[in-house]
Amino acid sequence: MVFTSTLTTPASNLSQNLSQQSCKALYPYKRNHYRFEDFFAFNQAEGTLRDWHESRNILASEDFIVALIQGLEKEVGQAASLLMYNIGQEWGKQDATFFQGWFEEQYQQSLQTCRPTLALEAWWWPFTSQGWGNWEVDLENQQNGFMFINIFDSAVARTLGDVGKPVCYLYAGLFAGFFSHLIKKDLSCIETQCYAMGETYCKFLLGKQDRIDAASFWQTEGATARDIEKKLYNGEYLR
Amino acid sequence: MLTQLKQLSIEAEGRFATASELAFLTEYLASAPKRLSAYEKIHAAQEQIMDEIEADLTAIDAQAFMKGSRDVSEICRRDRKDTLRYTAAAMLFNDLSYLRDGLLLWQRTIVHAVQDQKASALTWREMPEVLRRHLTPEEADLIMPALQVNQALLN
Repeated sequence: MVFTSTLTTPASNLSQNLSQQSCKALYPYKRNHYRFEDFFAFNQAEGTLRDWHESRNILASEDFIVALIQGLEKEVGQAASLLMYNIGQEWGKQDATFFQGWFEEQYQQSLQTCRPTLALEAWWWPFTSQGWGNWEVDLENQQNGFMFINIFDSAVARTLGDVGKPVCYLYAGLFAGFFSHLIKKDLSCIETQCYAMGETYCKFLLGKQDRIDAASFWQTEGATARDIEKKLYNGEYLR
Repeated sequence: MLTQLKQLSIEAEGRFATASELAFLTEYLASAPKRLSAYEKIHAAQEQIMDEIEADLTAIDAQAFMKGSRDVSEICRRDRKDTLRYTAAAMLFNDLSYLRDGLLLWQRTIVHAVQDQKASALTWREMPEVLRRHLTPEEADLIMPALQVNQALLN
């Protein structure tokens, strides 16, 4: 879990971290650096854990995730899901800016001119190393104003187990925030199927507000992820 | 082997390792000279191996290294060399997780992102035959498990 960006890390600390993170110090442009040993660097003196991009990380247990979600529900009731979504959205916006900086430095090409699928894989790999799960992006329907993202092994859903409803609001917000910032258009996201509903993986629909509003309405009416997909492919939207 | 050694160092903390726990080490040490020999041969012949695989692939599919009208053979050659080096190191250390976790899982997503599955699958399907020309049968057998992981993931 990314705790905070460390853009303000003093130079002396930075060089100390780099000396401990030998893989990065030796091979700063190595792209396949996502093994746990390569990606993270423990600083025992400081008691900190930093990743390849010098962001401060914390290791969070499943108990932490359960406590976070149940604590929020206790504090704000049903608004907890919206709150998690908004937290994710803000995180996604900030991470898009952060990502653009390191991607362009590491890949020596502009985010606007590179192949979108390559940039997206580059963006998600740190999340995979951090334990947020593997992903799969389906850009096929981008021209129709929506796309699907599958998450395998969601940290939130895996922790909460089968609770019979979608629970990955943080992820939905993260995708909405990141992609909105990336393409400079307001996008929303909804989880249409979730590991916590007994499915084998989580599926997110990302798109323009009208598509997401429609999907949300159909979901409330009892539509499954497959029903929603069919309706979208058939061009059904709310008017 | 490195992964197994690391695991053993954790599991045998505070006691001596048993003979069965050390069996992998005995096995590895017995095969180490052949592993080293194979590694050095691949290192020495890497450019020739690249030329041969390129010729073989082009014979199978003349468009193997073309993306539309763009010739990407130099990029493919660079990536093949990197992967072969990792593969040889995985054989040397007898550590497939080094190969899988350190390179292939990442590379698989990049191959899919740039839609190079076809050339990639073809490359690692043909590579065993090319390497057999440079190694003894015993040395070739040692690198086959790593090549099979490449085949399974880079397609």
